[in-house]
Amino acid sequence: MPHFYFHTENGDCIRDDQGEDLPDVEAAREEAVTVLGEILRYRGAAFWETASFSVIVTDADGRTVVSVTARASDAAPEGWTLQETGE
Amino acid sequence: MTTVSPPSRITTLVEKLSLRDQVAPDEIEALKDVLDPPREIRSGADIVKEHSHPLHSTLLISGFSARYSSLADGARQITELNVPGDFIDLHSLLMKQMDHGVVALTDCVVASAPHAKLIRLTERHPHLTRLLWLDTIIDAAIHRQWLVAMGRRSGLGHLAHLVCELYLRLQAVGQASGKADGMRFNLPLTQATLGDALGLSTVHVSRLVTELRGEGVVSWSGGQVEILNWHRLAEIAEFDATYLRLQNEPV
Repeated sequence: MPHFYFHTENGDCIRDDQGEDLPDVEAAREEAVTVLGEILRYRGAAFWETASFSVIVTDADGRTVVSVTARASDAAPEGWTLQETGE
Repeated sequence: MTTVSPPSRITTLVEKLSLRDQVAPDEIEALKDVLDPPREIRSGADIVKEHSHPLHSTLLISGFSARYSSLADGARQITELNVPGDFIDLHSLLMKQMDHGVVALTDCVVASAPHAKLIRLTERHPHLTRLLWLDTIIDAAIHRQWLVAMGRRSGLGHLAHLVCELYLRLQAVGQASGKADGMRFNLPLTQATLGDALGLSTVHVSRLVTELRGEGVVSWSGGQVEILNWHRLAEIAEFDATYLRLQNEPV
């Protein structure tokens, strides 16, 4: 089974030196988004201080496999507008 | 690895029950009589299978085991960690079919108590029966606290709560050193196992352990935990030990 490392970045990078054996990249994706959700769950409004949180997954050779990022902002994401509800 | 001879069959159970109420000599004899000779279970093996109909309940004499339920995708949730002196499925006496499994998390020594003998015990020893009943009630109280932690505590609070609980439960059965000698205990569980107990990913558990260490609250390495600052740990956990019912009050 391939070995994946899950580093996190929110201004400070926390390296994962332990890593985890997972069957494939799909499983690494699942784990990455789970980690993101778990850690963000109790950040509360303090998340706006760093405003960005990423989980970056690397393989045994240190190459990035996938990453996932959540952002906080006072503005809407670029290009987003509230759609008219019709009639 | 040094082999520590496991405590005699019922020492830990009697120690635990004695914290809550006096256990009479004839009750200790009755507990001895109900148990089959000890047997070893290898780490990773099921002690009680999910959905089985056990004809005996099992006492954990040494090692760690866990009550768990499995999900279709292969995930597992641990619903209670068991320590020496725990009847891991006393409720199977009345529940009959297991709604969960029990797995050995380390090499374990266990002893079976045939249900027929337990039934006779309940008929002859009403006070001892209440003490054993209390033990299953405390299991339910532990489940309630885990549910609260799972649903509402922060990750760090949840881990801290588990460490407080395990320390007190292990100390109650002489498996953790007291305040005077440093509050230490063995916890030879992987972070993946802790993740299954906390409902958190291994990665998150590993970060939480680092965070607790970083706060100078615990030292934690090689399966050995030492609580450096109980007061602070209990504060992080919002720990209230009422549910463990460790005080002596007659039942």
